Amino acid sequence: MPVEINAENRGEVSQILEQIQNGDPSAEQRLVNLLYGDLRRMAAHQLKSERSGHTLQPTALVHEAYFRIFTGTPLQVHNRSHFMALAAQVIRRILVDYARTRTRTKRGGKDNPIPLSEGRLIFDENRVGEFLFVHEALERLRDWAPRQSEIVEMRFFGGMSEAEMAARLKVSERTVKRDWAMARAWLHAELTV
Amino acid sequence: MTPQQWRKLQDSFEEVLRSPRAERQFALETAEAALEDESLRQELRRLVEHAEPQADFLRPLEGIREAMEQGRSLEPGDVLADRFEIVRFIGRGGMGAVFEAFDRKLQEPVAIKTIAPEFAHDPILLERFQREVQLARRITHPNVCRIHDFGEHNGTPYLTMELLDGVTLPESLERGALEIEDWERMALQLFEGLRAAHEVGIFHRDLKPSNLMLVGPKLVILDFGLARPVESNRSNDFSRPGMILGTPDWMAPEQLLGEGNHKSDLYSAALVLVHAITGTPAANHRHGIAGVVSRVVGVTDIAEQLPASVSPAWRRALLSCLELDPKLRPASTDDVLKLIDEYQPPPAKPKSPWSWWDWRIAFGILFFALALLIVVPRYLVRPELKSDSTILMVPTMNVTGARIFDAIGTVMNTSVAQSARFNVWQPERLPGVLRSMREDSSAKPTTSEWREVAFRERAGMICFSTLSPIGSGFSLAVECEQTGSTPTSPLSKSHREFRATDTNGVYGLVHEAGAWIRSEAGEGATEVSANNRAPQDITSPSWEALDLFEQARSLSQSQRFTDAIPLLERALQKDPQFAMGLMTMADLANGLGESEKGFAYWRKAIEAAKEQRLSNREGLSIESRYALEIRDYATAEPMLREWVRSFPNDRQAVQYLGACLLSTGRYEEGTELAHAAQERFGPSTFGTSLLIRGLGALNRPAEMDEQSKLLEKIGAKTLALRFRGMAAAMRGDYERAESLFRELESLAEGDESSRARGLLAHLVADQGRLKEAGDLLDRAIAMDRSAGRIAFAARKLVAAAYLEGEAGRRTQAGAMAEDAAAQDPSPYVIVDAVSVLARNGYAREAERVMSKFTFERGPYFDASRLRMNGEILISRGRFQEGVAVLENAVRTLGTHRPQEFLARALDLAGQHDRAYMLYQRIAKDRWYIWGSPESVWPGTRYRAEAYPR
Repeated sequence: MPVEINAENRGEVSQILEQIQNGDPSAEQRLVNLLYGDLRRMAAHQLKSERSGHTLQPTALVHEAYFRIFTGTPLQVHNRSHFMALAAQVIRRILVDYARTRTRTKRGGKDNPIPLSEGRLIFDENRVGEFLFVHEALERLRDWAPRQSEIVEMRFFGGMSEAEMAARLKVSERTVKRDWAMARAWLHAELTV
Repeated sequence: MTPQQWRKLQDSFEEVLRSPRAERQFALETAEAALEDESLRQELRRLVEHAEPQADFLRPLEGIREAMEQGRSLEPGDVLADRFEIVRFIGRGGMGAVFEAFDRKLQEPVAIKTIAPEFAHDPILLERFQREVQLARRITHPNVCRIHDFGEHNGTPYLTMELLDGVTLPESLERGALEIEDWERMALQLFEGLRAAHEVGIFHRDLKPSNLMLVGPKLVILDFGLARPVESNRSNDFSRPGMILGTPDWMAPEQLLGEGNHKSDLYSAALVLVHAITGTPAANHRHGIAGVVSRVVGVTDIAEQLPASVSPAWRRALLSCLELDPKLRPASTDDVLKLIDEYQPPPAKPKSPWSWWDWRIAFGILFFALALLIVVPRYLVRPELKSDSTILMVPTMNVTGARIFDAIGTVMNTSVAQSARFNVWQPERLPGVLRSMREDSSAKPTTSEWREVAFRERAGMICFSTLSPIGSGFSLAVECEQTGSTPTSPLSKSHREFRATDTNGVYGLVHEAGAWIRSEAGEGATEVSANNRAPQDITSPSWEALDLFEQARSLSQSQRFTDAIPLLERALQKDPQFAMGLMTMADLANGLGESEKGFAYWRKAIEAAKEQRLSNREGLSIESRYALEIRDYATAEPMLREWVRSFPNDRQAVQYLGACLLSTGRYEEGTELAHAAQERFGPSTFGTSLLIRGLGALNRPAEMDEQSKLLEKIGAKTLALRFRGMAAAMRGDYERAESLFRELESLAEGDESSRARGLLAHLVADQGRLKEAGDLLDRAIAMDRSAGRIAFAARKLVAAAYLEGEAGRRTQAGAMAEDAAAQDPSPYVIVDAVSVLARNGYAREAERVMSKFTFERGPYFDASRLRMNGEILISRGRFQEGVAVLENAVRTLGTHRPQEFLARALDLAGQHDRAYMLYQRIAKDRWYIWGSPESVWPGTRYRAEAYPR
């Protein structure tokens, strides 16, 4: 399914990218919001239009996010760890939405869940609730250890390597390693009550 | 929790985790004491408790990393093949992404379709991708998207094709329903495009709305990716019954049964057209599984849904294409188009609601739907053998009357064994398998027995072949069967005959047959040609040499090495460049303990291999194994890695790499590899032994025992005993070890029993009973001598000489060492003999023996020379120089293992602290002796333990 990039959006993306490069800290969040809105619409569209699209493919969303940022804009974000971290945030939000609607439906709600495609992502339908716990725990962790929370997000939702996370956070790999070990222990403790 | 508290907690947490496991509790208590707040103390305890979750906890979401990586694969500005410059991303296809690019050579825009990494590693899908090019390039029609070429960029395969500036049918429908005129024009173009494809023998198999693009008034069919020639009747093609390709929604019912043909395209095309004119979403239509089911159970007719604007001619054309029974559909696209051109009123056709076809389809669909539910919903079911399957090549029957062709089986085997995807069954395994099938294992198996052998050996495929005379030429008939759930029910059979006009042509037959067998097993054409050297190049162009080789090999299989050697020598006279012959000779010589002769043949074989006289696989195998044999690990490792990379299913490749890692002290990695190999290929004598050795090096005797049981299960009883004995010795249970080694000695024959006696000597020496060890060795030497095991006897003799020297009987020690070196002047014996002589003050004799050391170049040999020189220097009282040379020897060896000779020299040189440290390392390493008993003095560990601080 060829994607038509909305000209208006494209303009907005390049504008935000420019702001990011000029060091505007709030621009990143705007880009995430923009991508999130776009990708969510895309996911919904994908579900409606074709049978083969009755499932949501998180990997497809990543491709989409990637090309929204990198295609046809005059500016290029050369820092890939940057992009990956943003993509991880978007993916997390979309998957959290999915998990919420899904668990709501299970409790008898009427919302239409977005089914995840099988095989693409190991996402056990029956364990979607656990996944929400990860999200909620990360939110709590953010209160006192925002960097550790972000490391888990980048790794779990974005598959980023230690080197990439270190580049993104502008800290040493050793710090990333240490933070990861700590955050992982804490999450494990939180999730295995 | 505050950030400050958390940071404090993190410091304590890390400190606790830095402490060794045994001391962790203590460290935790210490850290807790430093925290002022009870809630923090609790949190710390909790964190430490959860510090090591299983590895997959919070593992990144599957596929995410790949998706991120794929994003990287191509981006605007990238240039492929020096020619295509990526302009922008267009969208995604079924298998990857589509880009707009600019062709610098032809100065025109093109489309580039990449294949996603998750598919690029799948050889079957890759083959489909290539097939797309080869086939679709034959279609030249304005209504079919032109495909140009196939290429690869940084490991990502891609296609170049016509760039279309249009919208797909679903996108167009989203903007509103089609006008009837547009629809009719589109419908005609669809059938015209299909006609062009069907005319060159290709059908689409996966027509669906998203595969149709509207470029202004023109319709273009995309993605002939699943097409195949209508004429192809190969039994192993995608069309085999049970195979379902395409998107079930739009598939013809017979495709659901795995029987698609060009008429299935007519069905799908009509279904798409109905969808296009009604404009309603797919799910509302009665097509696909739900649709056909509803039709069979008798719901309303499609005709009723078509708008009145559709002409009676089109109505009739569509409905005839939508017949469930393909026989009732128009015979070709031409016939469909005729229906449009010459309208006739429809003849009244009585129709029973439950025809035979309806029943058949109803069951078919039920079955398919169940399959969809039960099995993973992938439309592609693989007909091929699994990648690491074994192919059993039954020795070719030679009924030509010409004896020289008796070796054809070997040539066939070698030819098929070039496959990087499959393993060829080892004929040496036959006697063992037959023993488990019947009393008498000597008689040749019958055809049905061969099938049983294949079944027992879990071979995926078995191939029979016969070479017979035809006129003045020859015919090679080959029959392949994929093994099923019982020996008598093959999954599939295929048969082919190859013919040659003269004797020389027989090699050509084997070449063709080998390639055919591999493709029958599911290897793609490119895969086959990547490793498919001519049989005469990888064996020998002399049938006489081959015949002699064959005879020699069968003798050596029954352990008759001495008889096999003259035959091999004759084969090598006929063809001195016969690499396989040279290699076998090297193996035989090594097996007889004549390592020098073995090395020489090995070198010759490598030379011959350079002249392309081996297949890729054997070339890699021989060079890397040679490097391992001469202990040149730095050379061996990259070659082994290359071997593993090129032939990932080659059990030996993985095992030798594991052996290399273990030999260079990477015990964890080597053991892990050995473990993975066992998981993958099952237990085997070599593989499981390797794993046990790794476990030994890691000091895990319990697991050694466990794996030894596995060895016993696969029939390697004596080997299992040997390892169990070692495990017991490592636990310090000498009594148990001794009884196991004694059992081994009495049970085993020949070499193994001799080894058992050597191990017993080590065992008593390790307890400090050196005198007893010497007596055991004397007895063992006598037995080796009487059995003619010269090399074995010599190595024990030099060990006994060492013990004599330790007991202060220097003259005796020197004489025995000289004697050993005279009997077997192999590198290992010479080094040991020189060492014993030097230690006992016979520096001049040592030099004389050392002068016989004229061997190979390579790190091990260089290190050996240094060691001998160093020990002689020490013997002459030149301690400082000696130590320096010996340190250099250890460096050259590239080993991290402590060396006894260096410890001894340090002691003599007065560097007691360093000597003590080295001796301590030796004393603590229980594997020090059992890792390579032949190259360690008996009692070394015991003496190291006794070295005073």
